[in-house]
Amino acid sequence: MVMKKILLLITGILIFISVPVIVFFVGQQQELRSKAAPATTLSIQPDTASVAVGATVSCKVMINTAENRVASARVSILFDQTKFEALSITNSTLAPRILNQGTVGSGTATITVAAENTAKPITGQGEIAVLRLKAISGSAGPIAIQFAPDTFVAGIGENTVNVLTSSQPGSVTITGGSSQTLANSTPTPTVMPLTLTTTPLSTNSPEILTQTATSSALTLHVSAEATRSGKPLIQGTASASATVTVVIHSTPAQTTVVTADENGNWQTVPTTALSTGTYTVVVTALLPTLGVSETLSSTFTIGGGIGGEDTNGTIGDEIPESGFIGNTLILIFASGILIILGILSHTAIRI
Amino acid sequence: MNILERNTSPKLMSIISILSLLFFLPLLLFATYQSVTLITRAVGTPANITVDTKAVLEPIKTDFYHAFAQGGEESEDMIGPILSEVKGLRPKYIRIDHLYDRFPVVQGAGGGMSFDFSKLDIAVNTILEAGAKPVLALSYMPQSIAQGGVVINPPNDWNDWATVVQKTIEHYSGKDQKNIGGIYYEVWNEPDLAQFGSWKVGGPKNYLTLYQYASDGAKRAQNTNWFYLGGPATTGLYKTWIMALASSGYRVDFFSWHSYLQDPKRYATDQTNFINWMLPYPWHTLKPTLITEFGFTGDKSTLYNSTYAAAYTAAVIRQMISGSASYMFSFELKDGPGQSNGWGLVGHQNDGKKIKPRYWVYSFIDQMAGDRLQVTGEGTWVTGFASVKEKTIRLMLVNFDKSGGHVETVPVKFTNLDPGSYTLREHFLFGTDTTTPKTVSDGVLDLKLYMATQSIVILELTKKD
Repeated sequence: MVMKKILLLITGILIFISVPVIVFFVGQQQELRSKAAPATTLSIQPDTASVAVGATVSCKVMINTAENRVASARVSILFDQTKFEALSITNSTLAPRILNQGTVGSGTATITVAAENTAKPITGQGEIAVLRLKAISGSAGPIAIQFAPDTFVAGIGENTVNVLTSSQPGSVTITGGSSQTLANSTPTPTVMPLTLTTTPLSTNSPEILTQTATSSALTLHVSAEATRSGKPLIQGTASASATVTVVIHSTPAQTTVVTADENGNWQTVPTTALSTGTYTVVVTALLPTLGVSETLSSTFTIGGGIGGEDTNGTIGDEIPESGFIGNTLILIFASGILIILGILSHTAIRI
Repeated sequence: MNILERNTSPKLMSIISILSLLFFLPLLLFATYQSVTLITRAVGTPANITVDTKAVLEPIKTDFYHAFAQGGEESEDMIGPILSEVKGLRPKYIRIDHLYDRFPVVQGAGGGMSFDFSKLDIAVNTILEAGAKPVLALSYMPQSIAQGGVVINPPNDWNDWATVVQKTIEHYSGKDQKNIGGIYYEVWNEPDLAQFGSWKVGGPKNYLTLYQYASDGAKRAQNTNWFYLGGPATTGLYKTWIMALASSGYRVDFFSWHSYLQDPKRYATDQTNFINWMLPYPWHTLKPTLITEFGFTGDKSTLYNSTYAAAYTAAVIRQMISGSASYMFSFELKDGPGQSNGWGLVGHQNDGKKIKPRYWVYSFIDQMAGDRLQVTGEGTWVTGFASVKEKTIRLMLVNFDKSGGHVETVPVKFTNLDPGSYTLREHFLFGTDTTTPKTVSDGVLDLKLYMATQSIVILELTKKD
């Protein structure tokens, strides 16, 4: 009888102790969940692939949210505009909503995708967007398809809003000639631990600067004689076949991606003419085969106040199939009147 | 006669004249073409459309533009007299404002306040009868509680304003009253406009205070269906206002603004800006966004009576066909009395309820339902999108020129088609509707399409069995 009472007492004490212990540990788990550290990664698949010139390749944007709950993601992708033409970018199954429509430009593609609602955030692994690229010229080596620095993954209920910790680019080798599409090719995946690093911007650089990274192949030169046109020639060297991302910190910033040739030479010009002023240019060279990147920056000045228009631009021969018919009619009508007046005047003189 | 003419024979003069004409005519033509080239190069790019019929993108939404706003030109239910016309628009949401100054809802103040929704109920019932849900812009301040009796002023007692909002929500969303689910309650209308009070974000006439007490009223509303409370309903998308509301901590279920923009592409820019601003507030990115009034100008204009307004609307819908606002409200359903240059889709009943061209755009574009296809080569004036549904591929193109007068012959190419026989329907809104057989052998169909100024067309390509 006494033993039974002791057992009941011990059981009661155990329950009494275990309840707060369980509550504490559950609380700890909730605390851990609610304060999950940023751990989301993005990657592009296929990570390696081969595609023929003229064919299209579909690049899937994959997410792994780990412990994070994601509301929306701004996916911003850079690629070599001399190698690829972007055709479209849209959302995929794991991100059912499009918040900002996909836009494609020269060397860039952007879309903002999202979860259905806050009750159904994006979690786990899967595809959130797909980018279609058309290969427009052959390449000696793999061309990187990479995430731009403004890519943003917004988490719900985390300590940090942008929960993106790392991104892994894909790479595509463009073979010449055939019209084979990627759907018929079988990509061979390889592991490429790539990171994109940035260096602090140099503010003490001379107006026109040539820089060389220590113990590296990356150099940067802004052509002085071309700056008056608003579109200076930005060129340099990098490792052969490196993907070179050039960011000009204008308003808005201009980003172009080019591939160094087999000798390591690369060059580009701003897509939009720059107005008078001093600009910083940041160049990052990415070597997909080695998984390393290096960065250089420089400043240059546009002088002469010619910015805003490409003064070296030429007007082509072809007549576009468009126009303001009103202006055309006015010109023809005015010319016709002049001709008639000329004839009448001539006739009158003869009379 | 000068000395040259005196010494030259008439025959020689004629020959010289003809030779001069022959020489200068080609120069004239060349100069004309160059002028056209310069003009077009200076202001835009012609379209060269390619539709990849196998590149399928996301499903197309066709509901977001079936939303309409009605102003308060008359102190009565303005939609009732044109109900059958409104039904034809298949509206999802209809917005009305001037709830408390055009309709005698509130009498008295403080403890003596009483409510009579009977006249406003008539307008809301008409909206329901049209097949839509109401968006109620909580405006303006009831005269009986407003400072100085001026309806664009703050109330004498902010709690009275909270009570007005509470009673309105309970009346329309209350389960034991009108029992309407999913109503959007928008706090005020164009608060930044002098005409509606010149409210600011901060200062003595603070919109956030107006919103705060509206939010308190919403919180006090009992036994209601789900409803949305939001704002700021400004005359444009203004970052200061949006960010102030987003970071206010008050209940915000949706964000709203008005867009009177000449350039349709600005709508996409606005949407991008809004989302970029909201990224630091992830939960806000998932909330509905309402453009509760839109048009090419906020002023009255005879262009609202023309195909200009129709083309503009189609061009805006094209810009928002992917990543759109949740709803965008065409302003407005009906002209006010005596308006010959009003914003209405339909003329006032005293003026014969004339249907204007813009009215027909919405159902025309509904034909584009399906999965979006990849389109490249849009131009400055001619834009469009494509879709596929079952066996039919459709391409909508609109030639909108904000300055008027632009025409264009557009090359159109459908690629990756299955070889076989097709029928091509070329259906211009307000124009021809023709069907022709086409044979595709190499997967490509090339066309040239003349787009008159402010024209809208749907090309419909259907494979024969």
